[in-house]
Amino acid sequence: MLLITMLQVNAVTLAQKVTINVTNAPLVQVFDSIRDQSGVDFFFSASLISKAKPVSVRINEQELGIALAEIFLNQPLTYVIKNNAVQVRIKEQNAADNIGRISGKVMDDRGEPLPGATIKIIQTGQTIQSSPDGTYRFSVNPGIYTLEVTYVSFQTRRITDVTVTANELTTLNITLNAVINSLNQIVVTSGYKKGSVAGHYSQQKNAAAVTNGISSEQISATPDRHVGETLSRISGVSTTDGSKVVVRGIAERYNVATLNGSILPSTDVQERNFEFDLIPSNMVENIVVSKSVTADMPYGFAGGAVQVNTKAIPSENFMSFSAGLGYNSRTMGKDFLGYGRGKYDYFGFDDGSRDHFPKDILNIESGFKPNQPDDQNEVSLAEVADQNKRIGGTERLGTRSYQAAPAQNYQFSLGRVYSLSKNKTRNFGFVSSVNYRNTQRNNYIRNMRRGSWSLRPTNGDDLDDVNTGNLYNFNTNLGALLNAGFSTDKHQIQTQNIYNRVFDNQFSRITGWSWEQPKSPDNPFPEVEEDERPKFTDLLQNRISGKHVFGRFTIDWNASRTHLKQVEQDAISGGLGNTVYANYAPLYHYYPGQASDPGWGNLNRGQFSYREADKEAMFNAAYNFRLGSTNHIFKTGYNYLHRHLFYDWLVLPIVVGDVFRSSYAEIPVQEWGDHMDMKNPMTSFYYKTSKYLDAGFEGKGITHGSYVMTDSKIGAMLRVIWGVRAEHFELDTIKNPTSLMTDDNVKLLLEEEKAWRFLPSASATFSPIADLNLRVAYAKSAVRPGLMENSRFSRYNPNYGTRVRSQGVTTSIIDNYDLKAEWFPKAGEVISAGYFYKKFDKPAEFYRINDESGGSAYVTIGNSDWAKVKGWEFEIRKSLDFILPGALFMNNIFLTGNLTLQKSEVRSREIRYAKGSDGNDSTYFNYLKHPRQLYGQVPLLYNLGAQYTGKRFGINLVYNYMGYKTFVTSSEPMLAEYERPRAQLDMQLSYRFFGNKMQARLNVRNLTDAPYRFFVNDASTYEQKPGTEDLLNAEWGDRYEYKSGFSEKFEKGYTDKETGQLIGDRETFTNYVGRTTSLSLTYNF
Amino acid sequence: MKTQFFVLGIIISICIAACKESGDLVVKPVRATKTIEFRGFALGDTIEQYFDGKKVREFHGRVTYSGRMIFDKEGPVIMDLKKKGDSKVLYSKVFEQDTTKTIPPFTIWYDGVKVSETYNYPEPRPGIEQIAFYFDFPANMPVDIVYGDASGDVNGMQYLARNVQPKQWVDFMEIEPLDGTELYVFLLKAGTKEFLIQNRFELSYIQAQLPTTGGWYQGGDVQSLFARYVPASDQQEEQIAVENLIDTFRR
Repeated sequence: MLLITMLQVNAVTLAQKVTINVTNAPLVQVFDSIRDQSGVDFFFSASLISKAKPVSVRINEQELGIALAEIFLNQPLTYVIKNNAVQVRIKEQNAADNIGRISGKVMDDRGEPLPGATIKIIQTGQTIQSSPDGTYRFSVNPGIYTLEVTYVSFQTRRITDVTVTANELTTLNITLNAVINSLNQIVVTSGYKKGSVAGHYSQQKNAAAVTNGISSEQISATPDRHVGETLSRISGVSTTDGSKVVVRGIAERYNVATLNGSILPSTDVQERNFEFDLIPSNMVENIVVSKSVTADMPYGFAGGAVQVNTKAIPSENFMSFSAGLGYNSRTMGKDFLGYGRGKYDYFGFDDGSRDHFPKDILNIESGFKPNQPDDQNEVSLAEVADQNKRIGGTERLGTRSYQAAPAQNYQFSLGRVYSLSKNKTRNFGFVSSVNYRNTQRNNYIRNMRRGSWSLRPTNGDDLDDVNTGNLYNFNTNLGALLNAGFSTDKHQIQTQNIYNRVFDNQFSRITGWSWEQPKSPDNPFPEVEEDERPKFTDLLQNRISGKHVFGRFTIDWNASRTHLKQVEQDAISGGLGNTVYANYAPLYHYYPGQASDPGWGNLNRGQFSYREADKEAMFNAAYNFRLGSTNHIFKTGYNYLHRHLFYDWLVLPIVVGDVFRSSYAEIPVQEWGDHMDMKNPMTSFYYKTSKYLDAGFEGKGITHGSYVMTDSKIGAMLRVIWGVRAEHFELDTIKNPTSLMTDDNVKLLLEEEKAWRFLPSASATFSPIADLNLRVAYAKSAVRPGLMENSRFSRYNPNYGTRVRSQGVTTSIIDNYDLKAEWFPKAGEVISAGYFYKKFDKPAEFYRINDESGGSAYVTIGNSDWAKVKGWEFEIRKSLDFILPGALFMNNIFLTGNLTLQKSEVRSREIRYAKGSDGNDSTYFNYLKHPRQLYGQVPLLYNLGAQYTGKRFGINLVYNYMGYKTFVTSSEPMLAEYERPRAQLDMQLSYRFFGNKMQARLNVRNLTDAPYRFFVNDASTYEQKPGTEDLLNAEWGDRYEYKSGFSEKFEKGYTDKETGQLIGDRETFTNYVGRTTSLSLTYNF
Repeated sequence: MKTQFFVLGIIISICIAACKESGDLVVKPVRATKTIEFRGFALGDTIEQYFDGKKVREFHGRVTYSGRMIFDKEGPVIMDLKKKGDSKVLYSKVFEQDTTKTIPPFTIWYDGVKVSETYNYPEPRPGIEQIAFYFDFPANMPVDIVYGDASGDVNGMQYLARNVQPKQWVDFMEIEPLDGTELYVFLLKAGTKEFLIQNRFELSYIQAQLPTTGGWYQGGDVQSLFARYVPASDQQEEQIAVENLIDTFRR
């Protein structure tokens, strides 16, 4: 039995201070000295203590914890503190396993990184310099340390109580303040404040612009699968359908998306919008939303710039694997419908079964009539039959019922850092990640009364006269990321590469009565409309960037290329008719188009291919100088963006010469391909193409931008930034055919001038006390039209229930004014209030217009005349430690909230067409000034959250509320559509196992299964004032008046007893997405 | 660690195994069609018609269907008839898919209790008209059945039956040719001299053939008259709708 020595039993506290001054002294002697001074107990065995090395330390009045770390620094022994005593143990053989790490970023009080700052650990003497991006890292034994950071012309800062534990990373971002009087050397000492959340708010505090954001730590505390869902957590940000972002209540069109600083292309063909659901949340390091503009931002926006940054090169090696399963309450256990699947759909690739779009398609419509003999047709029967054969069969057509699989996701991430020199800063590191996700969602459409669907029941009391359906979404996402970087103390080069492959198949099936054929005794059975859009998206971004420090000069540059390819392969749109049989009343069947009908026909399959290649380059140079007691940065730069896109479509309507002679109803649609030999030209099926159905758009946009700006720190309290940006934008539509014959005579309104625009910006931040910012900012910004927004392509959109087209879009110019007060009481905490005002010149909006005789209203994008938006913004993130100061539990509970309130006024401008006396078409505008929200705008938006993060257990509750939102606007009240307020509650529980190596997270999204509900102010709720029908320039109140009891908000109203019709607002679309529960496990190796 | 990988492996395997690529067609291909024709009558209640367990239509009163039946799966199609609100099958019929065999026309007769394929009525007798009555009227509408000429003089009416209760059969009356040239059947409120509907003879008339000595019709047929009260609506006044079941079940 080993001899156990117990010196003395006494209670100790680590805060006690000790003094030890020994050279080559036995360790036991040091223990005795500590015991004498502090009364601390030491436990150790004789065999253990025999391994100890002699100790040489000079510790003067140092805290016990720090003294112990220093004493054990070079010993083969380590220690644990338990029950107020010190237990001495042998160090594990693999010492690296027990090493802890400290890393972070050194910044100035503007948030700019400070390269070459000296960081020293007082206890160990380890000293390093920060890299050009301001980052640093240490590997040290567990203990409590003090870090000292020094930099020329800045106050030296000392941070105490930095606790390092074995195998864990301690994050510490450090902000240095400039020395006001260079003769005084000031050392500022503060305590350690933990976490990337604190670092994130530190960035927000010091940013030049008004920003909000979310860190990876905060993202991991949400149930979010992709960035689209995460964005709604950020102050003043919400999303529509999880993909379109609304910033400050301003719609996606006025926001810009960047990935690692490079602009992302629009992924929505007919709208200027990047669909954020393409990027998995777990590939993201942080998201920052800038809400005010500075001259060095190479893009214009009115709502916000959503800057998504992928995983940064780590400060320590890591390897992790995570897997998750999800369950949606409206999907699992129910039929999941869709057309024929391919073998590789689960892997995100097509197996060839959707490949029906050969080249050199003949123009059948103008060259072939089935009722004419061959000698009168340009295209012979044999050629049509041969083309049918080349296109291929219809085996994939027709709805199938599948079993929905649970959502599943897997991710593997690896990060490595290498130090290439012992003496100098020569670091290389990379982070890589591969990701797989498959989700299947069944949304229940309880009510569809948009576009060409019947707008109201024939009889208000008939509960069966309703249009309902489902939206099935099958989504596979494959992602890979590789970021690598090399840095010295003066230079840094990084490359960021991300590839995403997404297979997104959206299938909608709606059953109901159309506007043209409402329910009646002669039409008792509803029709069925199906629309499937299997979309394969490849997004590849490669970027290289560098930063170089030459004394007071800093140069940074980057070049990137972003390729987006999005192909809707074998998209099918079709309607099902019905026939009554003895044993089916009715039996639904697919039916082909009539050969003589123009257009896309009743049943068509199509390929829609969108390719965009963007090349971007930026160069910035900054010079840091002092004038007296003021500190300035002069910055200038140039950026170039070249965008080139192609959008090709090939639509194949399936028709027969004479639908009345064909027995198509009893031929399964999967076998129609077997009846395309044209042996009987009037009853054979064939693919009918025309010049409208086989065409393509090509557009090019080039932006040159350059700027000058200064960022001046005047005294300790005032920071002034001003600058001007010059921008030249050129948009060329190289090919722009129509996709419908009816649009042939419609001209686009293109007012785009190709000249330089000068966009000034200025802001001032006043900090009367530490941790308080008062900001004021002004900027002029330009939101450019998306390349496809000026396309004459027009297509039916099942979501709108009608077709969507453009009337031509020009640049919107916005004057932005901001006021904001921010208080950062503690690290990770913020309380802020802000006011903003924006004036839009020619804002683009989606209008619903009904100006075609006999047709239903269509949706078009065009510029309104002007809009004014003003709003308030509030944010709070606060821990509950003030209730029980010092209680760790309360310190770990954070309450968060943000609120956006806004009001707008718009002068809408709708294009109208008329025939002049000369017989030519002419256009004019119909103006209407209206106190309404802009398209996509939300007047009331708030998020509330409560988060507890303990050592093992965590819980996070998030409540998101979005008020009335303008979905589609119009000059006619009954055509404008709004989304009713919606609230969503999400929850996450997390627990760590196996020494924090494994984390389990249980997420519940949309706990209350809150639906999305839309409505219009029906004509029964308001009246037009007599004699105002032809006013071309009126205010809304001059022209319309709501009836008593009704307003622009949703009022259900009542059913009129005489007519049986609803007098009230009409519900147009109601969609339930279900409650999603998911469990994920992450293991860190 | 091995255990964790093992569990993870099982989870991934289950998920991948769940990823099926084939599904069942929602609109089933038509394998065969056959023409089908049936007639019938449902007395008193509503009858529901099911094919292969799926409700297709409801009957109340007269039933006629002439069209086609489709076969979209292997085997026969089974038709069931049930009283509305009751799961008990009253009648079943099997239709084989064999396209070489046609489906003979058939009839369905629901007498208020059971379903059969035939409705029994007497053989015609020369010179004698046989008429049965059934009034599908509200419970508080007993009637007297009378006949008379087109003048509508209620005092000149002759009685065929008195105090006839709703939803009860008046069995086949044997009527020899009556004196007169053109006679009509009317309904009176039981025990009164008041025509049943708004005291108007033209609304209280029911379509029945009476044999007359001086008229063109001498009798010899069989009539089974089902009369239904149709309340007033926006489109029409209250009235009596009459159907002759013999037309449906003609031999």
